[in-house]
Amino acid sequence: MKIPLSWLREYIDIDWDVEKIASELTMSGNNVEDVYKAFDLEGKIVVGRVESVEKHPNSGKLLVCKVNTGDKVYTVVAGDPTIKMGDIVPLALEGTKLHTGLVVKPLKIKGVLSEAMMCSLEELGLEEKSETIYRFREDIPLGTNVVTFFKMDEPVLDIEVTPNRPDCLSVIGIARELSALSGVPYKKPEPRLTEGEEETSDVVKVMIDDTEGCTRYTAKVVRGIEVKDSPFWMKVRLVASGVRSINTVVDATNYVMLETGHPVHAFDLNLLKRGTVVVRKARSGEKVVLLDEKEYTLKGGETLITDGESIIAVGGIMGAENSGIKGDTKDVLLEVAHFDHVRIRRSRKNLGINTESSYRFERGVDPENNLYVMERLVELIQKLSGGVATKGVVDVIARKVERKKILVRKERVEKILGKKVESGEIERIFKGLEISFERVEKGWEVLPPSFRPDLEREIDLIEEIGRIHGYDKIPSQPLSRLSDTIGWDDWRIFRKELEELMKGHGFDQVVTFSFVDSEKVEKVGLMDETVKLLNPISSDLDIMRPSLFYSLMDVLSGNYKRQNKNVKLFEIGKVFSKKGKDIVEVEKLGAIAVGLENPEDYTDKRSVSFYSLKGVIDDIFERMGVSARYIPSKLKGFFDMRTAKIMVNNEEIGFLGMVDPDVLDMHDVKDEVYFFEINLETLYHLRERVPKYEPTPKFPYIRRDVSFLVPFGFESSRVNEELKRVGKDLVEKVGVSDVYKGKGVPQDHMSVTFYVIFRSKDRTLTDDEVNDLFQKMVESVEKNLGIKKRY
Amino acid sequence: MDLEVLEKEMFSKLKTIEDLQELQKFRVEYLGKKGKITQILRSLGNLPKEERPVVGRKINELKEKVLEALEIKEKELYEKEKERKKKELWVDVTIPGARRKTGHSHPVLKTLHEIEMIFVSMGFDVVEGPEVETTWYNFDALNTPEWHPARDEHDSFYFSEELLLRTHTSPVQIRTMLKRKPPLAIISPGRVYRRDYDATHLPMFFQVEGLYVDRNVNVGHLKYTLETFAERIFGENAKVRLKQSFFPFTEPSFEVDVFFPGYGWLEILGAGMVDPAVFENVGYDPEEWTGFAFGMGVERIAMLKYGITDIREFVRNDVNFLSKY
Repeated sequence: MKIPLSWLREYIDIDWDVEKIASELTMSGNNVEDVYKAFDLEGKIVVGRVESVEKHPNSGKLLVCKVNTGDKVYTVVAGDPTIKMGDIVPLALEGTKLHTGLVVKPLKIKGVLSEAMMCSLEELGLEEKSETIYRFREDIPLGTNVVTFFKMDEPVLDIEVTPNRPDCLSVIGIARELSALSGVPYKKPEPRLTEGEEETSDVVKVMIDDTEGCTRYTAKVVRGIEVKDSPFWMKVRLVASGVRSINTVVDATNYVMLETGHPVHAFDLNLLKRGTVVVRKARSGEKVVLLDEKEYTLKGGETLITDGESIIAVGGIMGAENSGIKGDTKDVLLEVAHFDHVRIRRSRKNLGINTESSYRFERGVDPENNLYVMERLVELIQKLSGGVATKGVVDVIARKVERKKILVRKERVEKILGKKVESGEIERIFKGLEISFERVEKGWEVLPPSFRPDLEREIDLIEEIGRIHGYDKIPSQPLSRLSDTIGWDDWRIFRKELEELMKGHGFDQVVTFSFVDSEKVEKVGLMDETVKLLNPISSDLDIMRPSLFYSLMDVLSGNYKRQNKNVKLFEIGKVFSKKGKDIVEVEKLGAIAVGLENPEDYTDKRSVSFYSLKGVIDDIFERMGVSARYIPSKLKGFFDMRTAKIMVNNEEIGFLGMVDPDVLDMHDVKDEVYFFEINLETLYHLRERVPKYEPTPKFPYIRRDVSFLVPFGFESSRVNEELKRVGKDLVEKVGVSDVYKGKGVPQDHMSVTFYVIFRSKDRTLTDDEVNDLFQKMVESVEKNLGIKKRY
Repeated sequence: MDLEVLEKEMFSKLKTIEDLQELQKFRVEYLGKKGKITQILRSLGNLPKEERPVVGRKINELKEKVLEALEIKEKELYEKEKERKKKELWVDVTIPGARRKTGHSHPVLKTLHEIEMIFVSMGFDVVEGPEVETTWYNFDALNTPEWHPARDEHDSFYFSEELLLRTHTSPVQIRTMLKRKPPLAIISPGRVYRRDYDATHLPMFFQVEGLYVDRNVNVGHLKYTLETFAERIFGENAKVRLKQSFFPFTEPSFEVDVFFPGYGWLEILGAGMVDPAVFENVGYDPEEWTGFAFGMGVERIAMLKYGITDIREFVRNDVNFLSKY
């Protein structure tokens, strides 16, 4: 809601400056987002009279005018052929900056010096596009400063009105707020209108069929009007308030809406087929062309204003094109109605339009001020367009919007606000907000005014007391600590531990969107069952991610393109899938890496590899007491030779692999990229919460190493198992100390060196017994697994 | 051999010796089993008896002398050797350390963690809930029925008419209240989604919402909680003010400003006293129980705390950017 300050001051004579007004309104619920000037004008624009118009000596199209500003006559070259002697125009003098950005300078135009410039409405900021120079029609002294006289330089308050306060979507409403806050009374305009002999009820009949959608309909007619261009002051007010100026009738309806908060409508009476207004529910499929010149197909249930045959408006939203005010309109039918807020919201959603009118009705318009609003509307129309009003009104009340009395308990006010507000202060607040009250034993029985649909319950009134009294006056009170809270639960601790482990392994934590590009998911093919958004923010963020891979690959690729080629990233987040009608969300850990293991360590030239990422998982699993099996697997988007599913107790917990080179091409990455993903919910349940106690060993260990030649495709974990099986209790640990391919190793083979740690719990082992046992173990591997010892 | 010649020879040789190995050779050459002095001593028997003591003494004297010189030389060479070996171990202390790569926190999650710790220390439980929600939990239960204009302020992502991505973490409060009996103190952190994407909005962001329910909870308690929070996260001098506002699920409702020297009052979070209608929806008696709730966007707080000016940095995840946190 944009309100020019002078408009506000018309209704309340308050000595607060604009900053004070803004801050008081803001603190009490009407957030003043901005205080600004509506018109971008600097310098001097004065009223001048065109004294003479002559043809330009050197141009057939241009005119040379003499313009008198009272104390001086200016020579002005103009291009508007309609300019005539005697026209009263806005004249911008030297140095003036116009709304369009143009700065006026004396200029020789084809040999004639033009000293000033006659302005159009566009140049004054009052119209989008102007064809001609503006001519004042009002009686206004020559030399009057247009900007200051019409207050085009005054501050405008841009107020963010919350959805519960439709009453504040009006100048009077904001004046009333200021009054409640300051104690200074406000005053509403007192309409004066002239009525003829003709009874309104003889001219127009109103029938409300749709009593659910329309609670009240008030009509009156003004005959013999002249539709004109609105006077300058009206244009300035409307434009400063964010509304275009159309003509005197439409402007009057908009002015009244902005002033009172009650949207109204004017029909050309002679375009209605009969003098009847029938308010009815729309049928599905009905069509109507509205004032925006678009055709709408109704879904059914919208409240329609009809003349018994044709639709003349969608009630509370927009008038129809067929009955709108035209330049030659002579008689107008004026509507001040009240529509149901829920219905308005549904209807305007159906139509997909949002108007100043629907915005207000949707939030709740005063159902009891129809007669006042009608009088004010008629007054303004007569003032601007002349005409004679019919006598009285036709006022049909389909159903009364009831107001309830509410009990406000003193004790409850204190319980919620945490402060005892004096009864006198509370009653002052009620009065200021026009809430009528009666003292009762526990406090007050109150009846809120009709323009406050938000005041329905005791708590609503406690809020009123709080906001007008001021929250800065409420002291803070220490919180008592509840006894049975635990802070973080195990699940949160578990994930925090994981985060720390991943950071320890050199992975940066990232945050990515949960939605990804369906096209990419289809191309890559990793997880094809997807969850689609009905209304994605863009076509490349249109499905919920089925795997963290897509987001992490994008982030890695973005970094790579910005020359960050050594990257390790991880994210903990949810992935989404469908299970019948339900959407299942599962929290996972995803990690991705490219480039050097330790780019800042010049002693370490290693690049990330399958094994290094597996090492990260091994470390995490060992710390959680989980042992996993890796099964070579084919996964779309990943390179067959280097991809494995991770199994724990026959349950798939995740996978690890090298990203397929084709996928890397898609992302402009030219180095090997490795990725793993682990289902955290599974890991959480499988993990060992308390590690098993192992006493510090009492006896020394003996280590032996052995290398085997292993053909490609062989799973070395079998060697590990065999060594343990044969070595039994004396084997404390089996590990790998080297993996080697290349010189000295036959083609399609690797040399894998295992180390075995022997230790007994009750004695010191001898070299001899270890040698014997070790030999047996190695022989058993060769015999049972069919591979050869290298050395 | 003339002892004097021998002496001269030995001492001049000794002078030229530069390392311990040579010194050892020298020792063998003169004092070893077959060494020259040893041989002379052995050949004493060939001398006439009366000459023996004199010559013997002279040789022994010479031997003593050489041994003494040797010892000095050895010490000297040992020191020299030690010095040389030490030099080999020289490092340039100004060369940067060979750094193993460690990971960094994401600034939003780092901020979130800090926020969580503040509230945990004040006795709040941290609770979580699903990101895909029903409209009932996301709106209706929070006193925002379908006809309510406030629904428009949350432009939401839908999967169907009833399923959407949560627009705030308040549904977690509803879920918790339906499960637990009052009193309770919880915060619910997590990802939330709104259809907005520009320099100041992300379609997915993090929120922390808090809820405190007990007998006799009032606006003063809310003020205290938010003041304490602001002081801990932004520093002791952070001031807080409550501006009247509107949310369907709280009444009274507030926008909460924090004062930053140099910036003035900045809107940080929304808060209010839990609306009785919300309590009724979860079966709490609003006459007995009152409570407050608050909610904040973590990105905004991280931006203020770290002076980050473009919200999109958070989803760009550039490793240079991340390396600061």
